[in-house]
Amino acid sequence: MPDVLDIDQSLTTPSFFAGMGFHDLFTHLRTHDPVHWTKGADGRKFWSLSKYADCLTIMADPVLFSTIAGPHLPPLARSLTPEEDEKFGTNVHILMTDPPDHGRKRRPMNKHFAVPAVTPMAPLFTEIVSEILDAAAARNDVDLVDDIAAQLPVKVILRLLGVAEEDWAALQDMTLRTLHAQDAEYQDAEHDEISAKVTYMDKVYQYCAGLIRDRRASPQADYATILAQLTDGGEPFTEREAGFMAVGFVLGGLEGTRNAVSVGLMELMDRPEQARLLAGAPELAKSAVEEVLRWSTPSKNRLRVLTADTELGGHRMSKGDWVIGWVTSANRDEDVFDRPFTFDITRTPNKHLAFGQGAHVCLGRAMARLEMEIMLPEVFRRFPRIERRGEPEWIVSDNATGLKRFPVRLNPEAR
Amino acid sequence: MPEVTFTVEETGTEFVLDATGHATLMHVAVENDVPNIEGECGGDMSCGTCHVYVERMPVGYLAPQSSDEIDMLEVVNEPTDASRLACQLPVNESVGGLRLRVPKL
Ligand code: HEM
Ligand code: FES
Repeated sequence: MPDVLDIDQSLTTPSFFAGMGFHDLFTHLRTHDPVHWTKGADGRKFWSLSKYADCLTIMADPVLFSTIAGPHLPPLARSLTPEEDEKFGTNVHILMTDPPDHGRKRRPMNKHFAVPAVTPMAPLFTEIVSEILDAAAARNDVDLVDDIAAQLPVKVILRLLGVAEEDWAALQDMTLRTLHAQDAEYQDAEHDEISAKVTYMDKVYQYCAGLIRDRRASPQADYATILAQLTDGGEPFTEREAGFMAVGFVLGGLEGTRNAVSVGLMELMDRPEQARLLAGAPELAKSAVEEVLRWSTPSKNRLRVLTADTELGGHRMSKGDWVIGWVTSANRDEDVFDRPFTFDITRTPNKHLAFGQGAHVCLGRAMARLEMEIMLPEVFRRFPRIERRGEPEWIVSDNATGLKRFPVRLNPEAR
Repeated sequence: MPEVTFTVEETGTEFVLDATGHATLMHVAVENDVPNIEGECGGDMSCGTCHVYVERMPVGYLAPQSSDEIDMLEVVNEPTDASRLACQLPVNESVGGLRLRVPKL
């Protein structure tokens, strides 16, 4: 049984989370200390919630549990300075906006991301998946992350948004540097972890604000134009508001899908009988996608700040306390999921929290689901013998669960 | 025991259901596995998976439409003047006799 120091040390060490081994710690916490006061080596202290019901509680009340400090545990668990907040979009980016302003921004967007608005995109997504898999097949030895999983959201999301193709790689790079400041691979000498995420967030924003200005001048048939023209019922959104909406589209759109697809494909390769089942029965795609989302939980934790004193799980909490909902743990909660440590693409019901819940529930979830429903079965239909050429490398992050690299051979017979 | 009826367009199947204890008609449908009503967002008007046509409105049944609902109905499959989001139809004492047709998702 881990002692408290080890627990706190682990929960505040990003490298502890590279892989899936961290789940043992949460299994321990769910049983012995589900509302755990966490004191790291540096940075501020926070409550760690590991039970499903408690994670739901904080996401259900966005007034008491504010997102103003950012949507997930920041590097070094340090608060931003006012200047950094300005660049990071605090109070502007929808994820870091509290009610009632949150609703004002969110309501007009919903219909553009709803299931009936997204379902007609299936033929486009199918075409994109074929294009990606054709290019990969031609090379046979590929990287599952860069050549397949990451390609999917880049081609879908940046095309839908209306980003010129020559800018895709740059935006992809800025996104990785914004979100993965904890991983040495995405760091540079000029920035520490916090200044990196703030600086690159600002770069993504500057690009997006340019898109919004451009579409306000000359509308096109793309999401940048939709966002540029949105109004809150009366007034159009400011350039800064609309620009940060596009930032949410880029960051949310590129990140989670890549991670879920890379981990999902890997888990399916390790379970050939389920991969075969999926390839032969596309009607299982929906439940397979939900299981991949539950299992991977691409974003492990949600950060909330208390706006008043409260009590949770028998603990008194104070206004200003940071509360972390470890949804990755909630998605393995024995009280909610039958055989939580079994990966089962036929699992139903599967009310996982990978897209969050409540006011901030993922705006792009219908898009992400459709992308994955098309991609996952198609990989195993086309490459039933896909095999490893090496070990997967995980992203170092206490938030993102995903792979950086995974060398695979698509068709072993072709050699 | 207020009774409500859902007719599924695709198959013609009729569901006559007791609405007691449910918050909205979306919840009645989801709890009873009525096809083509998913209610994915739980009634937050963010998913658009609870589109129905109202075929018979009981006398005295009030379910005012918000601008958010009107907005969402712009993107659902084949909207008409009878279109509603089932999650915006509350269960109350006058709901008995409400008849809804369920289009394809
Ligand atoms: C598998 C893929 C994805 C995962 C796992 C994911 C996960 C999440 C989660 C957990 C939240 C809630 C954050 C919170 O409560 O603090 C969220 C919100 C959000 N997501 Fe996603 N997401 C994915 C794909 C997408 C896509 C494709 C888009 C855009 C097209 C997107 C855009 C957003 C936006 C704008 C929000 C903020 C919503 C709000 O604050 O009201 N996401 N996402
Ligand atoms: S349940 Fe989602 S819009 Fe009605």
